[in-house]
Amino acid sequence: MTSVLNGPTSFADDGRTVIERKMDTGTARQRSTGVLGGDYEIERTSQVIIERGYSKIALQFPDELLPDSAEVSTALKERTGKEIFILADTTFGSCCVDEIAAEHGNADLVVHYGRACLSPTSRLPVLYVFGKAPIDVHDCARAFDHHFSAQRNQPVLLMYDVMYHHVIISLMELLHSHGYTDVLQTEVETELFVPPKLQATELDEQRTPSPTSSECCDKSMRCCKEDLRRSPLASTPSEVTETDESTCRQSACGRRFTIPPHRTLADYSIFYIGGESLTLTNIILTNSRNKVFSYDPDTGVHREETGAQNKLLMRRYYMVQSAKDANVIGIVVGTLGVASYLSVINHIKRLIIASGKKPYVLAVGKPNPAKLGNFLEIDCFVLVACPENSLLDSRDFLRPIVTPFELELALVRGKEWTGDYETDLTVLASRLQSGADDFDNGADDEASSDEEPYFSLVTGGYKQATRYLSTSNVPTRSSRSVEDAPGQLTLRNAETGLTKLSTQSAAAQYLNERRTFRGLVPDVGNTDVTVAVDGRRGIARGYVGETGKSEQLNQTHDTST
Amino acid sequence: MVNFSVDEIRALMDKRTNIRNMSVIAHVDHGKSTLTDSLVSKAGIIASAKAGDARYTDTRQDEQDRGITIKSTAISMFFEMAEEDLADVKQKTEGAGFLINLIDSPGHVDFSSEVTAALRVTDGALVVVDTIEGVCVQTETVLRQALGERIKPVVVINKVDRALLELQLTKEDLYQTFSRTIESVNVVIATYLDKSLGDVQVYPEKGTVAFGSGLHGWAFTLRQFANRYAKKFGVDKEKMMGRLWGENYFNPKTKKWTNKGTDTDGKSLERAFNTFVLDPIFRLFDAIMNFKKEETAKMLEKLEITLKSDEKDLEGKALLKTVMKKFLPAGDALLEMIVIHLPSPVTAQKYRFDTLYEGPLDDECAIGIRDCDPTGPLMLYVSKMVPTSDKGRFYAFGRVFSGTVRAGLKVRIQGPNYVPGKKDDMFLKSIQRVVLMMGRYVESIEDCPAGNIIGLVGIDQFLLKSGTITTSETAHNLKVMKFSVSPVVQVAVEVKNANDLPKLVEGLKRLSKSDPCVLCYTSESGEHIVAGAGELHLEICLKDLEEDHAGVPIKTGDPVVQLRETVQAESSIVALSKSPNKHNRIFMKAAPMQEELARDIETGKVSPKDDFKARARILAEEYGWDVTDARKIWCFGPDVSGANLLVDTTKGVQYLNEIKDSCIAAFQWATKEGCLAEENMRAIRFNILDVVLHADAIHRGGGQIIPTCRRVCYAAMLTANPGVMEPVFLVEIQCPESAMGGIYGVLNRRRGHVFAEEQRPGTPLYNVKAYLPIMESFGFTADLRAGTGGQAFPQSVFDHWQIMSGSPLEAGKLQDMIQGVRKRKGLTPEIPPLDRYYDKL
Repeated sequence: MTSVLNGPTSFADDGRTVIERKMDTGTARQRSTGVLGGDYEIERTSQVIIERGYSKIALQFPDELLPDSAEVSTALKERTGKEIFILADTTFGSCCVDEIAAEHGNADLVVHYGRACLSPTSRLPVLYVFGKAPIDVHDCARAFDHHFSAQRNQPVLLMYDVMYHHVIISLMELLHSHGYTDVLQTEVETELFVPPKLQATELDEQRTPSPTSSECCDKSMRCCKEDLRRSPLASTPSEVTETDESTCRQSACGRRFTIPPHRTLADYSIFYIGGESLTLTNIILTNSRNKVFSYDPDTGVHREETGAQNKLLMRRYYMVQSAKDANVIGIVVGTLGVASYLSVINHIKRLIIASGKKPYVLAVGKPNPAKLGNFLEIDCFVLVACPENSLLDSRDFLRPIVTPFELELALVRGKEWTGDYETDLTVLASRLQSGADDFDNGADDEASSDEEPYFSLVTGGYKQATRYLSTSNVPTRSSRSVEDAPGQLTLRNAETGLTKLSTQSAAAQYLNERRTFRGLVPDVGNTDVTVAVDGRRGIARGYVGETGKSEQLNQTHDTST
Repeated sequence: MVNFSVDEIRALMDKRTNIRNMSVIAHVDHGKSTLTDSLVSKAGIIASAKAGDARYTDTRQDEQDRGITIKSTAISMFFEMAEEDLADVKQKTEGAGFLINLIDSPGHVDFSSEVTAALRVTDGALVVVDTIEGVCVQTETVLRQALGERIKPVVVINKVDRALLELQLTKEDLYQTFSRTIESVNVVIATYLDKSLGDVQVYPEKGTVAFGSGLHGWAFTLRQFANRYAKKFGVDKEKMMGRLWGENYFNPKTKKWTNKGTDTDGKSLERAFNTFVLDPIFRLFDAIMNFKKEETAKMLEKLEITLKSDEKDLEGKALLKTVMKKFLPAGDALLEMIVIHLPSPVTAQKYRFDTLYEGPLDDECAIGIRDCDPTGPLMLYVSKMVPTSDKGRFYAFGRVFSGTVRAGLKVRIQGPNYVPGKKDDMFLKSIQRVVLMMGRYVESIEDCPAGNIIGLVGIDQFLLKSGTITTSETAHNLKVMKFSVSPVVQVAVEVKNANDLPKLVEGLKRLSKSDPCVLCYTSESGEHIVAGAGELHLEICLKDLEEDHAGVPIKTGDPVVQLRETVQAESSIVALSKSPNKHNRIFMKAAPMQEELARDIETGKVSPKDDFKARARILAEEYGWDVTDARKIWCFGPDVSGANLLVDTTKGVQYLNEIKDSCIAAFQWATKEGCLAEENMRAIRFNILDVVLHADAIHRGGGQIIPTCRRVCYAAMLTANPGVMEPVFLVEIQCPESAMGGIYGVLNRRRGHVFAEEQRPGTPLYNVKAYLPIMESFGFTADLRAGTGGQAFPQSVFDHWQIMSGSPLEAGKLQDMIQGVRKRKGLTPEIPPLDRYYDKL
C-alpha cells in the first residue's frame, strides 16, 4: 500500500523522476500492436466524430502513450478528414481531461486516451478510449471464488480499472456460470460524454445540484453517489433518482451501477480488478464501510484490502485536525477540467473567510514541495482536484494538504468525522455552499462564542481562533482595531502617502511577527527614489554578464547528471 | 458541626496577616490525608471520632477505595488561637482568629503534578514523614519542589504509634530514629535551599517539628511540653524547649541540667527528651495496652484527662486512641505549628514575588504582589481546574496574589503562551462567581482579597489548565509551573462505537483540563493519544475518561513510549544537499551535544528566550563551546524549544540572512520527525558549514531551501552514527531484606539495573534505587508484588534518556524495533538510505 500512500509520482517529486525515468518501451510497443483498430478504437472514434459532426478534435495522450499519438492522429485524420491535434504534457494529472488546453485549440471534442479518473467535464464533450489491458478471465474468476465461494449469494459489487472494461461482460457470464447470483457490475462511460449545459455559466451551475445529468447518454439520469448513507442535512434528497420502480442507479468513483431497492451500498462487498492505483485508494476511502477485495491481473495477486485503508483514513483524520488549527489557508487549484471546480473554489473561499481565516488562491500546476514551500505564511493547503489526485499524502510537504471534503469537516461546525469520505467535487460544491451559507447566517450570534478557544487535538492545548477581518467587515471594525493594534506597521507609499497595515491582516502579521528577514532596506521612506534600471537577463543557471559562475555550474551539472 | 460560618471566613480574608496558605506534602502512604483529618475535625467539619478514618479530603470514590489520594483537595478552615500562643507568632497578626487554607496533596509520584499545582498557591508546607520509613524519594522530591517555589516547610513525624506498638522501640531508639529523620530532612533542605528564604531547616527545639500519629489523632511539639514544664521548673519556655531536645540531660539527684550523658559518678543519665516527653507517652501506652487499669486511672488523673462515661468502658487500642486524643490533640499541635511558624501571605509574598512574576519587578503588578495589596491590580494565578457537579464545567482554582477578585469583574485571562502587547492567548471576560473551596463542597462568596485561595466560575472555557487572571493591561504572566514529571507513558484510545467519536474528543478535552500533567493529542498517524506520568496515572486518567469525561465505551491500545533519535559521533563526512533546482547547496555536519546541555535545555536553564550573549557565555564557560559559534545559534528545535541546535558556522556567506527563516522552518520539521522513525530528535547539534546560494532571490526561496535543508539535516544525521534513545524510570523500592532477591530477579528480566542499595539505619528495611527502561515498565508494579510476596512497592519517575545499544542502520534488535515503529506509523519499514538525502558534489 505504501506506493499508494506516496501519491502520484508526478506530484510528489522534484522533477528528477522525469529525467531519470526509464521508459518501458517494450510494453508500450506491445500495446500499440493494434494502433489501427484494437486498442485505440479508431473505428468507433471516427464514427462518433462523423456522426456528431465535430470539426476540431483534440487527442489527449498520457506520457506513456505519446509514441503512438502521431499514428493515431494520422489514422483518424484519414478516416474523418477533420482537423485533429494532439495534447500532451497536461497541466495537472493526465487522468483528467485537459479542457483548457483543448479550448486553446478551439476544439469541440476531446478524445482522452489511457487511464482516466472519469471526472465529469464542464465545457467540452469527451470520448474516452481506455485501451485494453490483457487479463486472464479464468484466473480472475478463480480469485473471485477464493473470496466469495463460501456464500455464493452474497451481494458483491464488481469494480474494475477502465483498462479491463473490455472483458467485463465475459467475466460476468463466467461468474454467473460459477453460481454467483448477486454480483453487480459497474459500468464506465465509454460512450461520448457531453457535459450538461455547454452554454451554462459557472454561476448557473452552482444552483444545479447534479450537473452531471447527461443528455446524450442513452441511460437516464446519472446520479451522484450521494446516497442513503449520507446525512440528509448535507445532501440534496433528489440526488438519488429512481429510474423505475425496482432499481436505483448510483455512481461511485465515476462508475455507475444499479442497486436493487431493498439494498443499500453498504450491504455490498466490493471486488476490484486492477493493480494498486489511486483509483483503488479512492474506492477504499470512499467506501470505508464496505469490504474491498482486489485482484491484480498483472501479477495475479488477490487479497482483501484491510488495515491500510484504516491507516490512511486515520492519517487523513490527523490532517483534518491540523486544518482546524490553520489560520491561513491556501487553495491550490489542481484541476481546470473537473466540472464545478470553480464553484467549489468559491465556496471554499467563502467558508474560510466566514470562519475568520484567510484564504489565498494559488495556481501552481502540479503541486510539489518546492512550489508550495515558497508560501511559508500559509498553514495549510486545500487541493481542489479530481478525486484521484486530491488525496495527496503530504509527508514530503511542509504543510498539510487536505481535500475540500476534509476542509469542510474542519471548518463547518457540527460536522464530525465519521469515517465516510467524499471526493466528488460536484457533491461537495453544494454541501460547501450550504456550509458557507450557514456561517453567514449565523455570523451575528456567533460573535460572542467565537472568541472561545477550542481544544486543538494536534497540540493537545487550547488554541485561540484568529479572526482576520473579512473584507466586508473592514470599514466597521477597522477604526477601532487600528487604534489599539499594538504591533501595527506603517508603510510609506510613494503615491498614497501613509498606508497602515493593521495586525489583523494575515500577511502583515506574518511579516511583523514571524519573519526575521524583512528585506534589505528596512528604512522605508528614507531612501531616495530612483529611476528604474535594467535588471538582470538570462536564465537561472547563469545570467548574462555573470562571468565564471555559469561555467562552473555547467561543470557541476554535468557531473551530477 | 462546623464551628465557623462563611461570613467569619470572609471577614478573616481581609486580615491578610492571619491567613496561612499551606499544603500537606509527603511520600505516598505517610499519612497526609489522615493527618489532615485531625485539623478538619478540629474545625468541626467532621466528628472527632471519625478523624483518622474518614480521610475527608479524599473526595473521590476511587480515592477512598484505593486508599490513596489522587487529586489535591483544598479546604478553608477557621480557628481561634489562645492568647498565650499568639505571643509566639513572630509575624504581625491581628486578632486571634486564623484562616487556614489547606491543600491535601497526593503522595504517589505519578500524581506529583498535583503537588506542584498545590505548592504554587501556598506559602507553607506541612511535610509528613513516616517514623519507620523515614525520608523517601518522594519526600525529597516534594521538598525540593517546595523549596524551589520558596515555600517554608515544617515537619510532622507521623505514625509514632507504630514505632511503639509494632516495633516496641526503646525511648532512646525512638529518639535516635527521630533525630536521624530530622537530620535527613535537613540535609535535603540544605541541598536545595534558596538563600532568600533564610534558614528553613527544621528543629524540634524551635517547634518546627511535630511528632504524632494521624491515625490515633494525637501529636505534639516540644513547645507544648515546654509549656507544661516551664511552670514546674520555673524556667523560660524558650529555654525549656531547647533543653527538651538534643544532648541535654536532667540529673534527678542534683536537680541540675547538664549536657553530658553521664553524671559525676559515671552513671548514665536519661536524655531530657526521653524523660520529660517520651516517658509519659510510653507509660501511658504501657499501662493501657497491658490493661493496667489502676495505673491508667492514676495517670489520667495526673494528666487532667477526664473521660466521658461511655469512654470509660473502652479498652486497649480504642482507649489508647481516646486518651491520646485528649492528652495531645493532633489538631492543636499542628495548628500551633502552622500559625506560629508558617508565613502569612504578606510575609511570604515579599520574598516570593520575584520568582512568581515574569515581568519587570518594579511595575504595578510586581509591587502589588510584593505587598499583597488588596487594592492593587488583580493578579491571580489559576493553578488547576477542579471539576464541578455540572458536567464538563470546572472551577478555576487559584490564588489571589494582588488585588481583589469579585463576581462580575471584567478580567484579562492570560494563557501560558500570552506575550504582553500581543493578543494571542488572551481573553477579556467577566468572572461569574467566586467560590470558597471547602473540600467536598463550595461556598459562594462576594469577593476575595489578595492572599487567599479561591475558585472561580465562568472562566474555565478560556484556560486549559492554568493561567494568569489580571486587570492590568500591562501585566505579564505569573510564572508557568514546572512539573517534576513528564507525560512519557502513552496509550492510544479509540471509541468502540464509531458514532461516539465526538464524545471522545470532548472527553479528551475535559480530561486535559482536569489533570495538570496529562496530555491528550492526535498523533501524526491519526490516533488519539493519552499520555501520563506513569502507569497508575494513566490508569486513573483512562478510567476518568471512560466513566466521566467521555462517558462512552473506549478501547485502549498497548502502551507506547516515545523514543528520541540522536547521533553518537560527528558526521563522518560533510553532508551536502542540493536544492530541487540544483542552484543552491547546503553543507552540514551533525555532532552529539553534551548530555548535560541537552538536560539544561529541557529543564529550561538554557532557553531560546535568553539573551544570546548571556547564553553564549554560559555555553562557552560550562560546555566548552566556541563563543562565536555559541552566539550564532539560529534556533532550538523541535517546537523552537527542544534540545537540538542549529548553529551557523559559515564564514562570509552572502544572502545568508535571507534563508534563515527557511532553514529554521526546515530544522523544526526535521527535528520533529527524524529520519529513523519520525520520532523527535534529541541532543544533536547541526552545524551549517557552508552555503552556496543562487544570486537571484527567486531561486533561493523557501521552496528551494526548506526541502534542501531538511534533507541535509537527515544526511548529516545518518552519517553521524545515529542512535536511538529510550526514556528510563528511576525506580525506588523499599523492602525488607528477604524481598531483595525477588527485586533483582524482576529487574533483570526487564533490563533494569540497581545502582544503589542501602539499609535504612535502625530498621530492617532496604532502599533500592534502580534504572528501568520505561518500555519494560508496563506491569512492573504487579510483577514486583508477585515476585516479592507483596513486600515491595516501587515509585517510578522519569529520569533520563538512555541510548539504546546497537545501531539502527545495521540488522539487529534495534533495527527490528525501529521497523516496528515505522510500520505502526504507516511508513515503509526500511529506514531511508543515505542517498535519498545526500547529493554528490
